[in-house]
Amino acid sequence: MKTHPLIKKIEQAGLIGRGCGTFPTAKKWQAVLNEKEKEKYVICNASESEPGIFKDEFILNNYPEKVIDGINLAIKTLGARKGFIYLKPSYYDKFRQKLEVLIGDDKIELFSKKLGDYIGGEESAMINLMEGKREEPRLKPPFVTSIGFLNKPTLVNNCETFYDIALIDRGKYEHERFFCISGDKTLPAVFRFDEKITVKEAIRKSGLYPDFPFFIQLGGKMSGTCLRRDQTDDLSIKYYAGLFIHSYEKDEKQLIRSWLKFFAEESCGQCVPCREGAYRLYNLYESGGYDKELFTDILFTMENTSLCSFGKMATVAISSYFKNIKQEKILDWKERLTCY
Amino acid sequence: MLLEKMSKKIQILINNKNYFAQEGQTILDIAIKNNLFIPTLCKHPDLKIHGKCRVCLVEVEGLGVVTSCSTPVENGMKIKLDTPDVARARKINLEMIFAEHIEKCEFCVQSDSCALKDSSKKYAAPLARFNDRKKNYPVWHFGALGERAIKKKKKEIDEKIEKKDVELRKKQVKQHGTGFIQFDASKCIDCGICTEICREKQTVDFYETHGKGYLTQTKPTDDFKRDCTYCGQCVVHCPAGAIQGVSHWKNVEELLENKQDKVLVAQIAPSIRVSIGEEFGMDYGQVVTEQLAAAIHELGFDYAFDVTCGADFTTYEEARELIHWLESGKNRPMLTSCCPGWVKFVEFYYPDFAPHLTTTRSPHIISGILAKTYFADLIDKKAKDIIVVSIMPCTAKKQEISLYRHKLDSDLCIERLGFEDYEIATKCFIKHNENKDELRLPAVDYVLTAREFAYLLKRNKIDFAKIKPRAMDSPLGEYSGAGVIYGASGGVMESALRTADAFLRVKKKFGSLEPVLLGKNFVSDKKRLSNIATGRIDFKEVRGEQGIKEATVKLGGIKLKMAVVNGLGNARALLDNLAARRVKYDYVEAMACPGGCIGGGGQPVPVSSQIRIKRSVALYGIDKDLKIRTAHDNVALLKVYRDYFQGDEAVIESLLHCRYNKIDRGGYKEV
Repeated sequence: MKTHPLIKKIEQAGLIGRGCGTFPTAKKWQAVLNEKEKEKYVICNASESEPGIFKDEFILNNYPEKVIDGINLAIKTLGARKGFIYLKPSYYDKFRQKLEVLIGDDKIELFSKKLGDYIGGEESAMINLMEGKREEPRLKPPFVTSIGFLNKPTLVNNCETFYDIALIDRGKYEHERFFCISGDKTLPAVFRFDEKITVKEAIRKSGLYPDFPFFIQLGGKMSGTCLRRDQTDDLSIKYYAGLFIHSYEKDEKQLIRSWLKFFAEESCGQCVPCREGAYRLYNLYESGGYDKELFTDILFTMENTSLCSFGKMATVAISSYFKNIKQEKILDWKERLTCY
Repeated sequence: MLLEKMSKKIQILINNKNYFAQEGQTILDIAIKNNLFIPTLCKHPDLKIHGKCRVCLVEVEGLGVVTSCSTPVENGMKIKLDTPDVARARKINLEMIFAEHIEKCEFCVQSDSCALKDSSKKYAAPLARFNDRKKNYPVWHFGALGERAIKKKKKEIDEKIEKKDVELRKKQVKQHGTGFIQFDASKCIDCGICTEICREKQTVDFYETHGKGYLTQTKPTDDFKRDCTYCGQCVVHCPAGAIQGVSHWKNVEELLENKQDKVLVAQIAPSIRVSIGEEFGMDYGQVVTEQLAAAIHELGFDYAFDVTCGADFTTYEEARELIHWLESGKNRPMLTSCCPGWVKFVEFYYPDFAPHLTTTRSPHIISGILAKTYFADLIDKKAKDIIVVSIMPCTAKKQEISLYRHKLDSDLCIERLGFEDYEIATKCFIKHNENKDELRLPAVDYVLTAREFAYLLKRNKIDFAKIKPRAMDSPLGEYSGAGVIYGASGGVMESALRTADAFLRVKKKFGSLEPVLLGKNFVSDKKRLSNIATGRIDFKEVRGEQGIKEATVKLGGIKLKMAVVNGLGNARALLDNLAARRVKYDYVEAMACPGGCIGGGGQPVPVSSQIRIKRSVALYGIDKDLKIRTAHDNVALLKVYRDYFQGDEAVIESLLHCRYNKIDRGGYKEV
């Protein structure tokens, strides 16, 4: 089996995907490297569609050269034909000039998705969109590492992952990660923390510790897990890109409605549990006196049978809210503390 | 074979029982192989896996609930089929699918073979726990406006006519019939099968998916470069019965109730006899020709004819044309034209090839025309008093009968058929400035798909199992084996080759095809001539299920290169190759549907490759057992040529031939 010194370095650094997929980066690179197909592609995912997460924007603003460095390293290591930076429309408008200057003659192309929609951040949906197809996640397996862009092996990594790789290559990686904090009454800010610290420490260190009763949503404003203050004590930030601080004074109905509406509208519409389930949940909740058993049944179905992780993510906020914040024990709100 | 040898054999556990599997197979593959039932909706054996309906759930140790269609097996996998979690999720998914589908079962021709209804019963999932969210979704009729109307409409906009006039024109446009394919979006369950079959298999790409989330909707395209060919593959693949041929059964039912002095003729297509039994619980490929004849009479029709007879006429003319074609040095290849889906495909997508289509009309049009001319004369009736209903495996035939070129010529009508009202009608035409179409008599008045006809029989409580079989009526119910195999891909070509082979010998003997035109029967003739008629019968090289078949056949000393395609995707590949001069053929047979008519858009559902093979085997079986196996031995046919056409080529030309041209896109409308 072929190996590459850089991949070994990445493995030793223990880098995991920074797009919240938590997949070991070295393994992904190795998988693409092992493919016999000569034509390969590298894609940098800067779609960042989760509300409350804006670290990619911060990185592209401050360290774009490191990101491009990382992509170039990937192209070189894997012998890829081309690299792409897949950008949210607002990022494209903002960073296009800067990036184009930095790219110069490198084999990297910018790609802007047409709409700022949510599902475009999923790697196979993103590839479909880049191929001019409908924005729908593909059935896996096959994974994009073997059949990706134009049906060729493709490496898709988050913007921050490429940044980290550039650091690893130069031996400057210090096991740090970017962490976004925002909230109802908190101004959004990005921090660089040691990835071993706990969530509680992160909030304390940021200096944004609220002086009002609060709960947090870890991982983003829409698909993050709702946690009480006491649940954050020994939770490492390693797997999360940020958190949102909710005030307890908030109107609960409005909060839940905002989650349900978001997922009902942002589903790609491909599979039944996600397309119909998200709509039915929203509909049931809107109608007021809903059947809680049916509500949990739908949540269960969405979580367990959706085609891609979007359907699973769509249930995280609402079920963790009922379980952790409202502490309802009547029904089987799922045991869950991990983020997708 | 090679693949199987290469892939490793592995062992899995399903419900605590050991099963062997090959690497790369899915859980569902193994379950189907071992007759373990897992419900499916969006999976079709003709297509690749979608994984959209999420109904085929199973529980795998370590993985949780997964879809069996998309999960490959691994060694030592422990699978359970009906766990509480599986049942819970499956029920919710089914219910949510049902909530998308507005039940209109009362008038649904597919209500007896409905996958949704079955699973609702089986899993006690109520059909209506949620409110129907697609209540206000539209019903579309594809092809409803007609090509002329579209042109007209374009002109209208150009000329900016007054509002009053536009409304008047709109009324006229309305009279252009109701279209040919009906897509009821309020029954659609968004499985995407129609889109995929249309895009990937047929390369027509008429469906588009718009919107996302719960606003996802499948719609006909507005692109003027793409058009529906009405092949109906979406119809036979739709699991929810949302797409159908625009129904004619209501009209036929009315007709049967209120017959007046009309003579009602029903004619069955070759491939129906081996498929329609499925609708009554019979085996795949069961031959029910005689039951069909009896059922037609039982319903109240006066005559039961067989399109197979018309197919013999098509063969006869096509073989004649083939010989002319080969001798005249016209641009090759000659393309068959019996499949209206294929004809529309060529006329719309490849108009350059339209002159290559044989001018011989399709079998049911010919037998319809003969019923209204030759047969009308026989029973001393007028053409307009005869109503012909074709029972077809096809939805495109609904479009074919609406075409101007397949309507009886009005001049001919006055002269030969006593169409007395012609003058009055002409005056009306000038007065109302109506389309001239109205003046022509259609060769066939209604087309019922096999499903519609079975539905009609069921409504009238006629059961194939109990009916007393009887023979088809004479004279247009007499057929040869060559006509029967028209139903399978390769059949048209094989029939034409059988007859062309004989015609070439006639030509050699007599110097021209004059005896053929006069309908000379060589079999019953003097002994020394009878061997002219008997030649090669089986052309096995053109048979089979493959998408593109090539063969070189020696005919009368000439080597001819043939190609047989089925499925429009394969047809497109072939035409592209021809256009780029990568290949060269002399004669090409093409069918729009996979496997030919036996996989047609009007056939009973479900269809799959295995079912199509069983149907085609049955057709070739009939052919093999028949005494008369070539079109030029069909006595009924020879009699028409001898007594009715009397060698008059102008009459033959006007009755049995037509021309093809480039056409513009047809329309669709909301109803």
